[in-house]
Amino acid sequence: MATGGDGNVEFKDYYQTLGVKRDATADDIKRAYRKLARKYHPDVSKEPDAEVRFKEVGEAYEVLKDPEKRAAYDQLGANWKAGQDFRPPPEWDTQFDFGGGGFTGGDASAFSDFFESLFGHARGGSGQRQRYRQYAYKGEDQQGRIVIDLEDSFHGGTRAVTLTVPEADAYGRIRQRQRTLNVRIPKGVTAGQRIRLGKQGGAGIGGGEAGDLYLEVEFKPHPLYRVDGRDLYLEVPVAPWEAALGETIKIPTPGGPVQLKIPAGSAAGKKLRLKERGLPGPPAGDLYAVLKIVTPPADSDNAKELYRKMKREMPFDPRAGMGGTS
Amino acid sequence: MGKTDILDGVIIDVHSEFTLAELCRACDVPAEWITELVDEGILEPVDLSGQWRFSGISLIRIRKVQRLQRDLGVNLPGAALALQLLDDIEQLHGRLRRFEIDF
Repeated sequence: MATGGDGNVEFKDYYQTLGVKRDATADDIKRAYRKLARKYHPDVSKEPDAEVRFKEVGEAYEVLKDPEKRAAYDQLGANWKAGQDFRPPPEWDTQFDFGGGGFTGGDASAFSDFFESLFGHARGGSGQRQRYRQYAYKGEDQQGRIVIDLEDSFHGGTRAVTLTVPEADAYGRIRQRQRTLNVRIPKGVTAGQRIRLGKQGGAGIGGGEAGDLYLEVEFKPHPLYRVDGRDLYLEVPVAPWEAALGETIKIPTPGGPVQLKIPAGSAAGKKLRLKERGLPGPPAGDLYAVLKIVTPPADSDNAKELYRKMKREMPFDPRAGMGGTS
Repeated sequence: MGKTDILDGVIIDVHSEFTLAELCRACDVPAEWITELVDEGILEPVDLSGQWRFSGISLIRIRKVQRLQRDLGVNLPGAALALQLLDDIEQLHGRLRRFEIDF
């Protein structure tokens, strides 16, 4: 990670980030960028580090697409390795003048310290007009992710989320800051839903109100339940005789154990619905108990004899439907 | 803000409702642009005696369209296609989660 303030920053190999050679043409660079931007776009990608990769790719493109910035970057030479401690050459500031900003696109507030050490600080938001006119602007909405347990949704609860947020200091320079929020989890929230936290996004400009923060909800995998919307699926192991003869058994649900009646003649994979035992509504989800027939091991003479007896006395061909076996 | 403050959020889902004016204000976009999204089939408001009612999901979709346009340079039909495909993938993931249990 690059360090903040005046400390050392890490060199970034923008060519490596985009996966292009140092002599790549502008078209090559554009193509490589487009491809990676689609791949890592946080709205599209399911990769866990998509957001970070997307920002890196955007920063690399910001430099390599601009002939002036690219020429300056190339002057540093090809001997630098990604991650090395970096300081701009002493005469850097007089050689190149990037102080005026002039960022052409993307989310400049997310650029690294390395970028800033070369090209100056990006100004708040997409900004020029915001600074020169007397208007108040609402702050940017921000996105984040909150990972919760199924039980949090079932019972409600609070969770701490830590977000990295860009923030403008007194000089309008953008710094990344870690921010921890305690968020109350609304009962019945499901994976993929967003929780909106009013005015917890980016600060407003010129007295405008702050933007909102949207947290996308994600469930940690649960050892027992699988989740689909508000419905829960629970695999329930049963003995062959329980499935064949019927039985009332005790199974867990997030709200506590319940009695489940297995009808006689149940096949493996049969789904039994327990109405409104899923995540709370409106409408409440259901809990599906999915039967899994587990056979007892033939690990004693007695058990083996019972299996032999079944074989002798029960006319049963499990492959009857396949035709031509036997 | 102290660490002990607990923030209350609102779930954005199909049950929250917006009028066209509310949606414009929430997203800071002109009504004409929202109309274009409706024409493109990206948003599907309910028509209540001549007045549109948008579900909370619309807010999420508008944000997505804005980010896709800004970051990937797609036009509106392109964004609509991406959203459609993302919806399909989400549905398939749902089915996968449901069936995972059988394996």
